[in-house]
Amino acid sequence: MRNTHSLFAILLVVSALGSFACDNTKTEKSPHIALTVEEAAWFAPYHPTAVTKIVHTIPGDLLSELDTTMGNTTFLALYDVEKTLLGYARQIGDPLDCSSGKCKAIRFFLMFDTNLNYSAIFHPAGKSGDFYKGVEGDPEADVLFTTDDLEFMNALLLDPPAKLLEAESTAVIVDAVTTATFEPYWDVVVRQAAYTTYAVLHHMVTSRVLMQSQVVE
Amino acid sequence: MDRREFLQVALLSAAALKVAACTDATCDPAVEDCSARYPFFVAAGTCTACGKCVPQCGKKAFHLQGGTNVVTIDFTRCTRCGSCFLACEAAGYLAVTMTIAGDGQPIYDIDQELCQKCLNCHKVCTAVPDKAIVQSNLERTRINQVKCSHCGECVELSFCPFGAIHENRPG
Repeated sequence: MRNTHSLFAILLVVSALGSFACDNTKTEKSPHIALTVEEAAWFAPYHPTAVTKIVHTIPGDLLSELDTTMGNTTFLALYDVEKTLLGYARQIGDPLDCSSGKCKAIRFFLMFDTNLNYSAIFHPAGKSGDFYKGVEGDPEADVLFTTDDLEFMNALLLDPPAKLLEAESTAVIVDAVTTATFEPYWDVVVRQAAYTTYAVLHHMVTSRVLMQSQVVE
Repeated sequence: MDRREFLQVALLSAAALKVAACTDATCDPAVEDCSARYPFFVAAGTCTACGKCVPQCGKKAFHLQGGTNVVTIDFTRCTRCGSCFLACEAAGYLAVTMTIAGDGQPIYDIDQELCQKCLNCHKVCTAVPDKAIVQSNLERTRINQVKCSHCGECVELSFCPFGAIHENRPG
């Protein structure tokens, strides 16, 4: 009988030790993922202290077919070493085609602050594609954006002109036959790149809406 | 055979004849109400004719006429924009390959071994007036309703990677 009691006591101790060792709450996986060297270099100009990210997946039913097909299905929340939120980044893929056929499908990043206000756009080195614009009078001669063009597009994204936001489609901005931009829109698009400006602006606006629906901080 | 037995046999025969008449269960939900016709059907709008469901059905009820869909690039139309490359990469298949030609421009091609027939490359192709991504077999997979035992494995085990097989549930 005494032996049975001893055995029972030993079993109780072993069981308690076992449950302590298997405390799952202490091994819960953190959603934070370390930035790769490449990502850290991309985001450094905007968030030099960013070291980790949380990848948020946008539900498929909220995405357009283009977003789904081009893989624009996630966005990143960026954090420093103290796990303080620094801002958000969303990678966008878009064919951005043009009549000359010289344009290349592009992947670029849109950056947002912690309040989901747009802060920057950049096309990282090593990522496919580029921003192209047309050449007046020569529909077969598209050329790359200049630094001024990129700065102007950034300024438009920081303070989107109502005229461009309210345009229902590129059909009201660009003449379908001559591909020339209608005069009322000259000052609100990168010259000779109305479609690209319009597409990028709407990626920015849509991204904000999508991210707002997903972020619960 | 009394009247009740006769009626039962007659009703069963009528049901069997109805099923036998429906030998090909490809249904386009956009065109007709598929739920009224077949217990299981392949939605024509979603099926990419990849053929993956065909060998998985134990009853050999799936069939695809003319072989599986082959997706290729028509180089006379391709503008080398690379949209297909990005779309395939986004889908995680990496079937679109890129090599740099003598003129320094990329040339894209499709690795048939890796291609999953998702047609994402076709959706984003920017070539005009016709897309440069060409599909050689647009026949959709069909379910032979005589062979189909209505076991439901095709839906439960997700035979179709694109969710084109549907079950009609009453109500």
